[in-house]
Amino acid sequence: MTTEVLPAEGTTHPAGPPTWARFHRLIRKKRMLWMVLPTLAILAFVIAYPAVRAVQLSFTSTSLINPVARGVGFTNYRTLFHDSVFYTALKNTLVFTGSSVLLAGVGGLVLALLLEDFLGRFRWVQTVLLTPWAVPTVVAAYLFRYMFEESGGVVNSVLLQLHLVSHAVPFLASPQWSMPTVVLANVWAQLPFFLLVFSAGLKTVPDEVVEAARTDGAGRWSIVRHVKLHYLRSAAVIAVLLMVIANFNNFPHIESMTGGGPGISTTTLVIYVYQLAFSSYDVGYASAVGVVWLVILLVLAVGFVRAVRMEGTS
Amino acid sequence: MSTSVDRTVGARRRQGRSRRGFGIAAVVAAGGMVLAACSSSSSSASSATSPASTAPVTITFANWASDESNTAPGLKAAIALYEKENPNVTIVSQPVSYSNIGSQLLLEVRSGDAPDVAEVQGDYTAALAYDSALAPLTPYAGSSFVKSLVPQSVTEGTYNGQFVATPWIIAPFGLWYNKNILASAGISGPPSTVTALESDLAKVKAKYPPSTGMIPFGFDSTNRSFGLDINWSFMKDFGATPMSESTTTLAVQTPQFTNYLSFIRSLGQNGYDVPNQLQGHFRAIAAVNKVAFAVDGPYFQSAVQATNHMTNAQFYSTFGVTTIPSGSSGTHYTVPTDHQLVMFKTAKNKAAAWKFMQWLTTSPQAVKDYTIPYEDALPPLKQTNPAWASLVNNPNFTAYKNVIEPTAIRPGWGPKYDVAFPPIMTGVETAMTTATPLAQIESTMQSQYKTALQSAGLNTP
Amino acid sequence: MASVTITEVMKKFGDEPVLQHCNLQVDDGEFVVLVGASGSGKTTLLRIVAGLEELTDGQVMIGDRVVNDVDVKDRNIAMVFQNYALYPHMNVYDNMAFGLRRQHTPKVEIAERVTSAAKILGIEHLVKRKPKQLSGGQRQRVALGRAIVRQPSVFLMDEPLSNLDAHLRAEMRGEILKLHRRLAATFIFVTHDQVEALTMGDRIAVMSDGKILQVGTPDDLYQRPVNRFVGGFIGAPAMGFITCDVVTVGDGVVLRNASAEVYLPPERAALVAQRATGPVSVGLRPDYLRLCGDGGPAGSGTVLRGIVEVVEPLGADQHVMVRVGDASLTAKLPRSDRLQIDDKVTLTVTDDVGVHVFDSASGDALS
Repeated sequence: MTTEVLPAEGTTHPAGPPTWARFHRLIRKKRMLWMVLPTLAILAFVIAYPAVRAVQLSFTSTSLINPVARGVGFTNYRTLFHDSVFYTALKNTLVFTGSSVLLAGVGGLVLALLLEDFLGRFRWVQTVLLTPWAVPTVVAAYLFRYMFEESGGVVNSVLLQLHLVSHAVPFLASPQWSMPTVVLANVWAQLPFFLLVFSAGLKTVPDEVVEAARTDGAGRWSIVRHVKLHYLRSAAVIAVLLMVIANFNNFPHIESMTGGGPGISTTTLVIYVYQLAFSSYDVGYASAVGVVWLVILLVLAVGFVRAVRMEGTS
Repeated sequence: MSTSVDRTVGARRRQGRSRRGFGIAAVVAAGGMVLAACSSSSSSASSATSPASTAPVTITFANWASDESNTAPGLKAAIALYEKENPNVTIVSQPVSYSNIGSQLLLEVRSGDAPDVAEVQGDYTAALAYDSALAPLTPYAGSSFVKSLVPQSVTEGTYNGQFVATPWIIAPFGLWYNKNILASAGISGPPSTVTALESDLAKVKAKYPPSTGMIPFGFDSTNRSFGLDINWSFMKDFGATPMSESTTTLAVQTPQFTNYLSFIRSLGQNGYDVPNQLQGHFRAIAAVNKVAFAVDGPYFQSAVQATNHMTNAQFYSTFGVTTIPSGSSGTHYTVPTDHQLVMFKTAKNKAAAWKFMQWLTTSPQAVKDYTIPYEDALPPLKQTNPAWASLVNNPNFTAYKNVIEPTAIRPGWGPKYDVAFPPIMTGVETAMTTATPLAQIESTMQSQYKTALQSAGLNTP
Repeated sequence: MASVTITEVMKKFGDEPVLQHCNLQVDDGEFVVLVGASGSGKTTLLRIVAGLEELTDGQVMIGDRVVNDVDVKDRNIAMVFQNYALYPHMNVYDNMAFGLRRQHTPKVEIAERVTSAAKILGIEHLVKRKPKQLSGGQRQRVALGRAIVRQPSVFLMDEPLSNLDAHLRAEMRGEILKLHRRLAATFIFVTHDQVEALTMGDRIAVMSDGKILQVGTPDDLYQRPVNRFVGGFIGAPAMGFITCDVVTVGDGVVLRNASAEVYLPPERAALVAQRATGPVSVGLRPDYLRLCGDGGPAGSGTVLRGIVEVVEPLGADQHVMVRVGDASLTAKLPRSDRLQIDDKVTLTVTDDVGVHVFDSASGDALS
């Protein structure tokens, strides 16, 4: 039996919803357990079954063409460690995720700071800036593809007309440009999320603290750096980690814009797994890649949960 | 300060939380493992044949023709016509996109959910054949019917000695060209060799610099099995056969293949082609007269007409088609993209299914009303039928039948093909878009192929 | 020079006037208190002096510089907020050093100023702590310290003691006054508590409804309130008011209603008679009321007849609330007067200095 210990007066109470204790006590009443079973069953089916099956498959050599699975132990994983395509895909995933989150995050922060004081008549600007988020991903991806096309794309037309380049830039056709172009399309879609998160965060900055900083002689930039950013920290941590995980899984943008090409310059882990499973029909190996990817994401998710918990108690 | 009290409370909460969390995770994982164990045994396919009767019959027909806007209305009408003539038959058409149908059919076979009949092509057919999912057709078709078909198309539908895929439309790749663009660039006629093609491309680029938006050569180089299909005939031109089902290495570290890669590299460096674009991408641009040469099947016509609404007469006067240029040997090669119909072993009423398949592919009605007008392709019949003879009486169809189809060869379709095309095509794209030394590209292809074979369990021949 | 001159300052929020015709002169080194109820505009006026709000009309000068268009950070003022507004993620040292660092003050000087301010306020042992680890009083001192280190010309304080408990408040009042003496700087202090105002200010400005009603020393305000509001606001327990008619009796004047007759010395009575335009409001200070007793009404003969409503014993005295007519008066009586609720009593005035007459309508003092 745990006795409820009250923290002494004047100290901060540790965070955590008080209902956990009650929930725990409820669970102990056996009848309540039967009520939770349906949910657990669904969870088992939807989450656990595919995950466990994928791990099983990763230890076999299974092709969709030859449905009899052959157990091969750790062969797939050994192959994976020597697979140059896997490492390239991993690198591409990190580059894609890192640069998308960085650019969208910084862009969203800057816009949120600039728009902070847009009251009244200009509030529609903020609404307009949020619309990219509402555009279906594949539609946006195709739009960007047409815009960045080498011949006939509007971006190249403008660059050529302004004489900024002497001939069209192969945005989607060259390995150097394809990743930045795909990242750009992704940032366009994600920046509104960060804009929203930071705008909301900025509203929680107490006016008095900002005024105290003003009377202390801090200029606009100092106030942002030393006062406002602090209040945005928890929102930023959560938003960044959410988007890192989301971008790790990004499929529509890359598949629609470049299909992972040219070559494997924009092939991320998701694209690689998709190709392995559904174009090469190599389900066993795809599962192995998937398991490694799952492990990476789990590490990130644990980091996320830790960070959220830390933010909650600060 | 009372921080020690805080820590105790917080720690206890955290412990409680993680203990409970592990508990739930364990239950969920256990449930998952139970489910996985139950379902990992695959169900064996059962075949039940019943004699054709006038009892009501439903035939499920998976196809991409009803998924694509230029062919969908035609197929719908054809099916309606068949149902009218065969009142006890209901055809359920299942539209599936071309890019998905391969994997989707394989998955459906595994889950015991396969349709009765499906539209397939090339490498997809090979996959299903190697999967032993297809019902042999000769018992239903009869040898005289098979003899009436174009021989190359029969060979294409035969795997392991069994005729499992009956041809629907004859659709080998040809070299399409825009007559007006060629004329204005000072080119008298389409090139017969690769060398001639290269010089023609230079003339087109000279006449139409990039700022005009002109694409001299619309050539698919994407990382798909279709991409390798398109490139295969050019590889043969240079004397290279990159892979086969009987070997476990790629034949790419050869002078012949290197010459082919040089050709590809010059396409990229000279800006003749746009890398990493699907074949379909070029069709719409060709429709607005911005593509000089394109490698495509006969469906090029319907796709172009759907964009620019040209009449057939206008189309024939603008666009011509000929064989893929040959290499120095003078032999022309092309790869067929024939659409075929297959019947699955799990089909319930095979006789009725075959009747539909035969009607759709070869009946004068279907050929006249669907194959020629909507697919703009030839039926797989050796003999021309008076019912539709007039429709194929034009230079393009004549070229296809007499000149292009006879050069059709089958590339290395099969299980190894599916794991070979990614290393090969990514290498092709790398050759086209970078300055990486060709020898390095070839050795990367080889090592990636080795990895892929190993992972697919195909490295034992 | 650190005087503050507020001239005809007006402030409107949209069409609503929040401050009207505010005039105030604060001399260099003075401790002036702005006192008033919530919504009286005192905080708004303070924020206008700070530069955190813009005035609609009028002028503010700090020293001999007009600062209407001068930004907050250039006015050389320091502000202490009601909720302290400390930077939560910085420790005490950094909170105090923040402003100096923004001005690029050399590190050595920062250390000097911060440690000396910490010493003055008795918080040197807390410099490493973050605000959430401090008590209310300690946070208050850090806020003060943050203001002190900047060595401003003017200290502006917005109800800094309102969030503290009574005991701490009394202690901090003394601390702030000590600080004022030590720094010899100009302080403008805003509060709603008249006890704070009376005990701390060299001069007090009483505000109500966006206007400054009266500026003066505590004594001025207590003895000579210029209107009813000030009279009722200053002094504890508060002045009680009864409404009377001005009645001429012979060649004198009596202020009378059904339960009371109030007499004033002749000069004052004449002034009232001259200026009154109808019934008047008579304010009576509790400390100048006593029971009539056997000796009859004192001095002038003022009598007030009423019924005891509440008796509050407070050590040596007791505060007795008496209902006189339909008004309620508080009398500060000695403990020895044994009274109970519902007792009928007659009160008298010991000195007419404790009687103030105001116009019923305008509230202006009439004598």
